[in-house]
Amino acid sequence: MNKYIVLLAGILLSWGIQAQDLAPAKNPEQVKNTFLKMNASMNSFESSFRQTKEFSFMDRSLISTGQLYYQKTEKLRWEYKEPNQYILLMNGEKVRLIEDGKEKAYSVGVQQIFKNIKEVFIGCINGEILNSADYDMQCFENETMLQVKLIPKDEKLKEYIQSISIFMEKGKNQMSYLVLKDGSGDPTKIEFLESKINQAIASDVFTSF
Amino acid sequence: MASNLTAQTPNSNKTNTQDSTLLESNLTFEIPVLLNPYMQDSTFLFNCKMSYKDQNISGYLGLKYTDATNFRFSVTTGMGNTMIELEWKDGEFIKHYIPADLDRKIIIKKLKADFEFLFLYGYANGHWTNNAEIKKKRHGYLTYFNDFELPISITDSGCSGKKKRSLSFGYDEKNQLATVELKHFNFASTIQLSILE
Repeated sequence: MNKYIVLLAGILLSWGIQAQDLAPAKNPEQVKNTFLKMNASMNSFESSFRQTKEFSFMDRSLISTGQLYYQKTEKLRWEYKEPNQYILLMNGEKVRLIEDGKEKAYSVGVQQIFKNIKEVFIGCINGEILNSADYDMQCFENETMLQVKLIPKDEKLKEYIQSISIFMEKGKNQMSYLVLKDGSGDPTKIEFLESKINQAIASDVFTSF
Repeated sequence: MASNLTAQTPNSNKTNTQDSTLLESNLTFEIPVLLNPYMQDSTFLFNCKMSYKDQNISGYLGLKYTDATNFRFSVTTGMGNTMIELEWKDGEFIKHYIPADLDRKIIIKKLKADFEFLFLYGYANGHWTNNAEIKKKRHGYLTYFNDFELPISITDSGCSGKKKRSLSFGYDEKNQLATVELKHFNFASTIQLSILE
């Protein structure tokens, strides 16, 4: 009897997993346009987030939480609250990192990582990355979700980011989560929780620590 | 947390009470056992701060430790981007991920030497002696242990006897590894790890 229960659970589990999978979209242009429409309608975005970084070689994940603020077109405050406090302020070309309440200078290598982060995060929110010639785009969907996957063409950029996937729940005009695969191939999932769209954000959020 | 012990020494007169396999054995005399703190668990997540001269990097370090000569780790930024991922496996050093900008012979050599020291590579198997220096490959290692046979400091000196670098270990109230610090004496460079709660 137990064998049948295990078998049934296995079938249900595998069915559940398959139901989660997204297949290549029949009409990729339509999927892309759905994302672009969402991006175009967004003047500001505020959301708490939960970030889960996986390690390929161990079964523990690194979970971080924080708050994100975005104001069209290039203002972003990416604030980590747990387990450590970091604030990344992006305003136009400028990227500033605040750690333990102090602004930090960082090495050339880290600057390159931040530059890529800025391009990717702001690009995902304002939609510019979807029209960028620097990425190959693939579109996927299932009954409930849409996915745009972007793969950098530049080998140098691929060293830092292998792919970026943006997910949107069908019928909801906002990003659900992002999955970034960094240069090592390890995925980082960023889920947006309790999002507010097009609500006023105080301007000092993007300038003050 | 499983405690897999790999190191013993006949030079200590202390008995390690954490060794359940020892307590269950039929031995009628006490065998001192020196513990490798990384063997308290198989995986660790640390806060990680690395500094070299005026450059500072803060982030996280994920470590999977199988034994004193087999471990793998990656260092990530505070935002989770992997900066380096290295492995020591069956005597082989494997670079799983390192950006081209950092993949230079001199940097790799320094990283390899520091992380081998930090994670006690090749140092645990029977060579740990409390408050006595052991010589190994033109290095002298002076090690101090606490009452639970866990290392609290290891100083690495070159053949001239001059201190080159040191390791300091901190433990919580249950004697679980809490902090590790590697410090160089001949130039300003440190690696600080603290267990992520």
